[in-house]
Amino acid sequence: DGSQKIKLKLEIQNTILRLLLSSTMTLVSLAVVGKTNEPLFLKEFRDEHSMEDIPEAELFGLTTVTKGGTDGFSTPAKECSLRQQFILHAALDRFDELAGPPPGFGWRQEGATGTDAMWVGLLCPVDELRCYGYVTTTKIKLLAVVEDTSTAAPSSSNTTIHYQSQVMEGEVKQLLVKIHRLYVEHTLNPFNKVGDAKITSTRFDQGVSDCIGQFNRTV
Amino acid sequence: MSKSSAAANGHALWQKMPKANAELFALTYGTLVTELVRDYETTEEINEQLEKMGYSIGVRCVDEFLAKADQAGMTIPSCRAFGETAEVLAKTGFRMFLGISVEVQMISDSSFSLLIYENPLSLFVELPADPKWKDLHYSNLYCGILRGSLEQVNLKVECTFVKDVLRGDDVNEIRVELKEVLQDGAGEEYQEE
Repeated sequence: DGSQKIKLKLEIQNTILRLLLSSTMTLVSLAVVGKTNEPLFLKEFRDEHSMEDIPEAELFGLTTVTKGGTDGFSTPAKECSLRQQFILHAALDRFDELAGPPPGFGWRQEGATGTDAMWVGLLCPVDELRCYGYVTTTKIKLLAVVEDTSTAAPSSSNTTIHYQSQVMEGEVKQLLVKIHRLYVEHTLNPFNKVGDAKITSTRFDQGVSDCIGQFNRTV
Repeated sequence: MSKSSAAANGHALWQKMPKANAELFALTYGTLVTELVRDYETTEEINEQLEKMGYSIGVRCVDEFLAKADQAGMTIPSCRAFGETAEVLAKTGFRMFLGISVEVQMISDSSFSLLIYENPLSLFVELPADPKWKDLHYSNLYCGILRGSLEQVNLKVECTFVKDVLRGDDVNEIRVELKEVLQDGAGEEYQEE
């Protein structure tokens, strides 16, 4: 009972902390999707004091996978909850609309080059989550689902909200540029198969966790 | 040959050498290793093949090294002790061909360790997590090069990788041990009666 009280106290403390920070964005999950929409890397970044405590696997009656699984398919699924996978999958459809059939690349402005041309922007909002997209010239897609807990009052003028969201988008874009760079370094490893194999490199995983940890702390 | 002049020579020779793109170099070596991985089954065989390739590179490298040094007007005198050989190898040789600085650690009169901090061959490499790759010496080419080049100057050595950054250590360490000093001499057919 004592430990439950402590846990409750920690939860309350964390919620208060979150509310005190006027605008916080936390990256909830990240996906790297290949050319033909096959998942290469899926990861969720919920911190431990999150409100949603129901483990989805039990909810759906699926058995949890043991941590030491060598099967490349089971490990990513455990690290990214089903809800996130649904959201990412739905966002992918929107992605196809924007980036897929000709004329395609509808979001791009004239003459945009480099990372400006690769950044798609907000794909779709779901509840309190927003999904952003980024596609490379080799049709590798990066998706980031961000939880926006800003407490901007509803009566704020449109300009401040717009500015805030612009700043947020800029931050997410920078993050995805960094992830892109990590992906490039990953493909340069001669031992990794390029294209349609799952990313199992610890260096990539560590790099991604570091980037996102930094993002979640500073924004 | 004093340490500082070896380093200075190395630097001067490096300036004169034609350069190649480091990424291209690393990627080419990477495909070479992956091809070997496809052809051979055990890591011992792969290491051996890399060493053999390094050997044939080494026997050619040493002539180029001595010739270029001569052209540049610097004399590389004969080494009076194995330690001097180590210094020349590390400070001049590695510097000239790869542009990296290598440290020498003398173990005994007939063996030393070369400590390589940055390895241009393994620029983007990460060994797969599978335990069978633990024994793969990715940069074993260096061992062959050292063995080949020293054999051409009558020093028979054995080189092995002791520490490898790709396997988690903080530095690459190659142990070089002198086995014997070969005698200069013509082959049997050319011996005078």
